[in-house]
Amino acid sequence: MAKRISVFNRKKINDDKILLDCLLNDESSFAVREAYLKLCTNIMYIPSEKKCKTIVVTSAIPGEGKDLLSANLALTLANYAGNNKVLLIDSDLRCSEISATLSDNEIYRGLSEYLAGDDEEVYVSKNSKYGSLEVVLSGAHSSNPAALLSSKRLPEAIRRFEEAYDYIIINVPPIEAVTDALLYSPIVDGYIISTKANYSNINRVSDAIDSIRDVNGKVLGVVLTSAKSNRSNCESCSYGNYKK
Amino acid sequence: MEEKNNEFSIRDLIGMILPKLWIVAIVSVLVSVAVGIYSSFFVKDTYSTTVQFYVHFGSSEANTIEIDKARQLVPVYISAYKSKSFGDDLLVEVNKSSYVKDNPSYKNLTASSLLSMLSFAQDDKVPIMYITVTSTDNNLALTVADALTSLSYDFKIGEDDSSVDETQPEKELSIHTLVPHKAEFQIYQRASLPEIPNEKNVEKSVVVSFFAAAVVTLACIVVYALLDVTIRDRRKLESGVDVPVLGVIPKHINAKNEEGKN
Repeated sequence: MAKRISVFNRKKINDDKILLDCLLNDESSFAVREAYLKLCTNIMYIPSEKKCKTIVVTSAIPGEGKDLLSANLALTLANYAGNNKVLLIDSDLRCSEISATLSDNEIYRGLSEYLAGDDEEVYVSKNSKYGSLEVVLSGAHSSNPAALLSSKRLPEAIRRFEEAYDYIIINVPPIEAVTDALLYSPIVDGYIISTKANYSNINRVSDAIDSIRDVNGKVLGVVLTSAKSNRSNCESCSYGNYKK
Repeated sequence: MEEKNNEFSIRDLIGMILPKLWIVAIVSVLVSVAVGIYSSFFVKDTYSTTVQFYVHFGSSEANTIEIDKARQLVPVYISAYKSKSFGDDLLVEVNKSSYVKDNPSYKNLTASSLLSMLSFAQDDKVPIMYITVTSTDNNLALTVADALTSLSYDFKIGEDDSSVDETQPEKELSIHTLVPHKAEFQIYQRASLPEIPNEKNVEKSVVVSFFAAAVVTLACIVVYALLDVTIRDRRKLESGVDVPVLGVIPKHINAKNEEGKN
């Protein structure tokens, strides 16, 4: 049975308004959309033997923009970079901004219900506001997320999703904070690490990369967010007829 | 594995300095203003008086060779004046003066403090030595200069070769052994009581302090930037990790807001 999650009510007042404002849409600046398209292009050209690419988006420490990065990456892959079937899984069972932002109402079910055995299938939600993007919300269970993510049901679900989607983007908690992100290493193609300009620490990012490698995970690359717009960005804003 | 690029380029250096130039400017201006205020209002006035000595070999018709030799002796005299033994003699002489005796604040004068009041100069063409005495008290400056003048009467430099007794054990190196010929030392001009204080040269202090503060601040900025591990831009990220940078996302600004700003 779906439950009301009071923790999200508190967060909605503060944070997810910001996340919602920054989600990619037609009103987003040209420079930002182009930046996400470039990122998608780079991801598309990462060689993979499988039809579907399963990518975990994480960060070294909290506050480095991984929620926004994973949401916008999924939105771009789904709506702006071709007709890809994209699934965004919010696997941050502890402090999810994505679920709080993308859910239509505060009563919802998601990954944790499936992992806990409450649901037979993972509930996938789809909101027309976000085009063809499909989302698996984090769910209501918040006790012992690491144990839930260690469940055998998780690889089974991912395997089933890989047959149905072109890209699966999984948002997980920061690596230094909790171990959740590392539990995905055997079942995903790789990790993307979000870093934030003028905030992230290069040593911590290196440590996060090492942590992933220690569990035989593959780091596809890093993404720098909140970067200062340089001159070339401004020029590209008004390049020819491609502004809008 | 790709080797990390830890080289530090001039571009990086300029990139880290340019955004902080305002700090350099503010610190430099503040320091120079502080130095200017301190120099103008807190530094005591100083007074200087100069006594001049003329060095020669005693011949009535001095030729250019003798003048040149005498001129070369001036540095030797300067060395003698800077010596500690001369400082002790000067202290004794200064303590004899009535001005110092009557002024209790000068009871603790030392040889080194007196020597620190002296500055020396030499004329480029003639064998004249200038000794300038500088003090915050103009009377003390004159007293010290007069003591120098008094001591110069006893300042015999150089002796006849015949007077040197080679059978005697070796003596401590003195001015007598430094000067090969008998030279005379005359007062060329006595010191006078300085009544106008020295110019403080506030402008010079301000300019020097401005540039010194700028250099020190720049150095601090560079050191801070070198030790800083915060990711500022793509270059820093690329140089710090051995995985590709897949993308750089600028700060999120909605197009509406952007147009509004423009």
